[in-house]
Amino acid sequence: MSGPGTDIDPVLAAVLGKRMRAITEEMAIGVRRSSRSSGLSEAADFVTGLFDAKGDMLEQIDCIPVISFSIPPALKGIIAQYGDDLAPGDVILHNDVFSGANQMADLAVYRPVFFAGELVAWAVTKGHMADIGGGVAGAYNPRAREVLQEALRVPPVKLYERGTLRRDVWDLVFANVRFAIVADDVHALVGGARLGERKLVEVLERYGVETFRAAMTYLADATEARVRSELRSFPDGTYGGESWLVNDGFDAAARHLIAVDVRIADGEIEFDFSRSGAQAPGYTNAPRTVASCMALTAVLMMIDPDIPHNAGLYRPFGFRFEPGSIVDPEPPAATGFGNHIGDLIFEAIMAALGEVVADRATAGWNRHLTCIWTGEDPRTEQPFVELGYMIARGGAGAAADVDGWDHLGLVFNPMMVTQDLEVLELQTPFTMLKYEFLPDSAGPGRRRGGLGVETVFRFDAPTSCSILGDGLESEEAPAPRGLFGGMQGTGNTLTLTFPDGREYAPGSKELVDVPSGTIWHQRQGGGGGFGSPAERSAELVAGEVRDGLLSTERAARIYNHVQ
Amino acid sequence: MSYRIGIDVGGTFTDFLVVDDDGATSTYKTLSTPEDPSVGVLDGLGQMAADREIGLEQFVAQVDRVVHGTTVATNAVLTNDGAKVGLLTTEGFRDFLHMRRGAKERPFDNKMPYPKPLVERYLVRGVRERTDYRGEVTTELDAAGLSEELDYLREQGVEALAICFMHSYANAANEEAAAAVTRAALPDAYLSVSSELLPQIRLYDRISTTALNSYVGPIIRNYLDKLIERLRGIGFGGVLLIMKSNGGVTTPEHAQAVAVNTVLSGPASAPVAGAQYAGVHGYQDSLTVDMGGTSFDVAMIKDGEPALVNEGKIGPWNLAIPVVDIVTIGAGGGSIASVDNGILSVGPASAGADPGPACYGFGGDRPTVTDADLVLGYLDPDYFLGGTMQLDKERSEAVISEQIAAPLGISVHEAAAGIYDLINVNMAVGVREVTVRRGYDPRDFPLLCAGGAGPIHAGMIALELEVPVAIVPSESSIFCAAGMLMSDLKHDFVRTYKVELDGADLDRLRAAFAEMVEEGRRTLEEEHVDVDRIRRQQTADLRYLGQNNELSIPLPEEVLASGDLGALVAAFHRRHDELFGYSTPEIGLELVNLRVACVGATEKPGMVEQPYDGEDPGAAFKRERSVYMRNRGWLEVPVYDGHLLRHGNLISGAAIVEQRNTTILVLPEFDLVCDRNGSFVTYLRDHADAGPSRYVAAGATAGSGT
Repeated sequence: MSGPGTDIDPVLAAVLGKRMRAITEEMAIGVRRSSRSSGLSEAADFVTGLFDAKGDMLEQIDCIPVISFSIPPALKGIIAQYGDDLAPGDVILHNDVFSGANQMADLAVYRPVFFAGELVAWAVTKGHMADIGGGVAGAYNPRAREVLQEALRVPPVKLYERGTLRRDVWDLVFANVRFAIVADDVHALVGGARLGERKLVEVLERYGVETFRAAMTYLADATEARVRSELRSFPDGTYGGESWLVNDGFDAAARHLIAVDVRIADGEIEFDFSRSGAQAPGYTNAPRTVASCMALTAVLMMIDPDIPHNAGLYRPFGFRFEPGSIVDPEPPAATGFGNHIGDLIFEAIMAALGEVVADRATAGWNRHLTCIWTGEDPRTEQPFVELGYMIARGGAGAAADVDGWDHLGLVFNPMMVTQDLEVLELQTPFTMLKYEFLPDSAGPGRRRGGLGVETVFRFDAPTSCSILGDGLESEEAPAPRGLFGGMQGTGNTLTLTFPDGREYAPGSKELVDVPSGTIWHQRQGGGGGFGSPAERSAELVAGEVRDGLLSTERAARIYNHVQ
Repeated sequence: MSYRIGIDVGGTFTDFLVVDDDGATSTYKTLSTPEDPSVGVLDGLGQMAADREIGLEQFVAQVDRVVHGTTVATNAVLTNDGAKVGLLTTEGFRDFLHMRRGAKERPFDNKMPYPKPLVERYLVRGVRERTDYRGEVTTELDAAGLSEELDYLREQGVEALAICFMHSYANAANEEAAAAVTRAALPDAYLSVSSELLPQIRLYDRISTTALNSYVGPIIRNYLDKLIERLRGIGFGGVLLIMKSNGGVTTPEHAQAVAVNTVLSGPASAPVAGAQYAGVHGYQDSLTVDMGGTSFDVAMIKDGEPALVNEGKIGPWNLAIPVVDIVTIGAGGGSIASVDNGILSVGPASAGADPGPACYGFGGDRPTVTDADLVLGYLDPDYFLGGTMQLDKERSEAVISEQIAAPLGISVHEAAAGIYDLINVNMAVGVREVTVRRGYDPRDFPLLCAGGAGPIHAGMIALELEVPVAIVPSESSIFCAAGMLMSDLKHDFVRTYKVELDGADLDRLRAAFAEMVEEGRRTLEEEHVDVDRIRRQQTADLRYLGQNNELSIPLPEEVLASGDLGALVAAFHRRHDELFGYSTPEIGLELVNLRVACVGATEKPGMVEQPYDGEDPGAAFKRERSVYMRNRGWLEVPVYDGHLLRHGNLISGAAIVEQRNTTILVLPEFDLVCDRNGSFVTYLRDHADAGPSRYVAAGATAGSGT
């Protein structure tokens, strides 16, 4: 590596690193505030980033790791494909999982940044779309057996050429997508990338390309050195961990193994997923980029979380996959659920490393369960689509120093924001009846797991539900595990009560059409505990009993709490 | 003689600015007394009386206005030390406040604890009632159930109550009914009702703001009661006004009723002062930068007014009221520098005041920005705080050498210069954020520098941003107190009217505006403002159909009266492209909220104009001193006594101007001129705004004398 003693000015390098970060944040404000779908504007289910001419990361916002860390592989493919056929003002659209992306519904906009006639960098925005065509509205089709049944594939294609919208491409894409807001959201993504370009060009005008490149190289090298030195503090060795996917959409009793062997040696870390099971028949397959993103997420939690997010971060990482496996499926496999295996992959990695990096690991997180709802809103006679961010809020796993976060949810999407309930009722024909922490859901421990959430609402219009997730107690999914004597968290339950009083407990990956007046009742579980419950402070236990978060019965039985 | 006094109670110091009839000013600083801040206020008044060699009561009798800003509410929130609040919500949604919509600000940090609740869960009580999204009551209030909850909360000893029900912005009937029951049951408790405070959509924003109001309400109420009692006790018969987070002032009665308005009031007066100091030189747009020991606050002034945002944040909580748009970053004199694997970083960790920078000799052993400033020669170890505190330069050199220079393989002076540069860049990023996120170019905004540490760094921040002018007011170290005396009475109102703009009922719009204007007029009348001193600004929150976030666009009365909203629509498209990189004129607009800001102008103190004294600063020359600058090495530069510089005196950089509480570093690229009010204006020598003529009195031309 370069470092002290090389000719780049270390102060200027730090300055330019800050500037890259500021630009990505500005891009994100633009996308967040101007997009239409609740997924982008309310839940912030998108990322923004800057990448170098080779496709390596310069900076990105702290956002959705499963989306962001999968940009470089796709971008490298784009660069290889287009070669010299790129010009200022071009915008490339992409989502194809078999050319580097993580999930079809996560649509990306790549804008090359030119300076003095030379391709210098890329400004990228990428977010979860409310629909991306395919067999089921909302992009999750549990009945798909191949990619063509679940989404419109968009291999790299120019949406703008030299600043001019290609109407033919635009029409081709949006003729295959159900909701007009998706096109509006793509406008917001293109705007965000354009902002990034404007701001980066200002930096290049000021400092010149050579200085800019040298600074970025310096920062990546220094970041790599920091990651390596942190990894050297982990004991060398090979550590195995497993988790199980329950219900593949075709067979509710199916169990698919996700296995990882983590090899740590001399500041390098390799994640070998080749022991994982064969690819599943339906959409419960994760493109390989998902597993690598989750490995980065897990390691970021175990090292200094303030480490810059650039190419140096992932240089010490290695990966092995078995082609045709559930974490590296071969075309034309369906993969719509792939991101949602992220929490199971994370679970396997934490199972492997939890006892190795004791002070910074977490116990098991809630396995999320969510839904995409679509239908026609009788109030406006317009189609609606709502993504179940609010119901996906389970408890996080506890860590050595802190209780797990309550109402947090997806480990592969930790920056997600819950819809505001008033806005939700205004936009979607639902009446919310209950949305509160779920008492007794936390896995006990010296540090308890995060609490899950109980959600009850009424459908005020006939609605199609594409339920997707895992962790259902009715399917006997494993509960989030405890660590170092902490106890396990709790699973999820879901019951639909139809207007005629009939109850139905759907599976974790299922399409259900419900009539108006149906009640949705979900208990999202809590995370696993850390350390023995006997060591938990009596004051904390008493406080939670007083607050109604812990029943007196459970407090007495597990914590020996006497009122 | 009569006096006006601005009082800014900060965490460490309480600052005072006294202005007399002739506009002559004097400044005071006393140590703050957090257990009862009014004690520190009285100390200051005592000093003022003593300086004038009259008795306290005799002095106070001549004071006709006190404007007071306080961090009492801010600190209560930031230290989890507010009132014991009972929160009444719609049954089923008890936790929506604490959930904060699921935000985790540092997603990868496994050591970050979940935020402590603002209201303990056992004091959050669900009430059976419901209003739907149309504003129709679908479940009447269960008054009997509410009474039981109130009995419980009384037993628990709550000091304050907050009521926030679903969709109450659309119909307040259930909240009003609940408020009536609550007032009867707990007549002495402080009460906040969301539909009165903030009739605006978004449950979390409304519940958070309402709960915050009750959390700080009793504290502000008691504090102001005590302050008023003390002031009356010494014979004060003038007007007391309280600074609000929106850059305006209000009466103590209103501050007590809507206490949440004071939560971010501390720094809110800085841009008010900035507008004044920049305005005298014809700048309608400017930026205030206030660098203290641990934080750096930036605010923007646009068209002569502090820029506002419609929502703020305090600690982890949302504050959905208009507040002065201040960006605070962790950068100050106490910011700590470190090197990790070859990457130098400075801040946000701070050595604060205790142990403070290494050079204070209070036990600090980490290199800070102040240490770097000292090593570079920008600070004089013998003239810190006017020489009342001795700085230890050798300690600064030792910690920088060991912790920064050695690991980077550079000299101690290069290391100090690196710290200086990096903190300046951090601050420049904050300045950029304030401007660019609103679509403005920082190069068009002169900097107004406040805070003791600011003027050493302002020049480099200006260079970094290519800002051509930086102004250091003579009262820079008590800038906020000065701003308080310049603030107007100001009240904000909002109504939600969600409709496609094309189909908006203009009469309903007019009626909503008229209702808010009337409410504003009534409030200002209660504050004894004459009708002819009231002005107002009307804005509409607009968005493209289907968007979830709005832009506030001015909607002047004339436009509304004309019935043609074309200009409003065009302004929206333009702003959208500036901020978000695109606009889509083919898509229709939706109106969400209507807003009115009502301002009652107060009498401003005049500024004293000094006679022109010519360009020669020779009378203020103290000595020469060596300073170190990156890419230039050691330079011998003249040092001037700022207290002796006079109107028109002109200094060419590099130079240093020292005052008791402030040091100005004039970089080689800049000149400095003392303006007619005694402020110091520095400007890039090769820029269009260069030359002293703009900044000195009319008729006085450079070199001519008077």
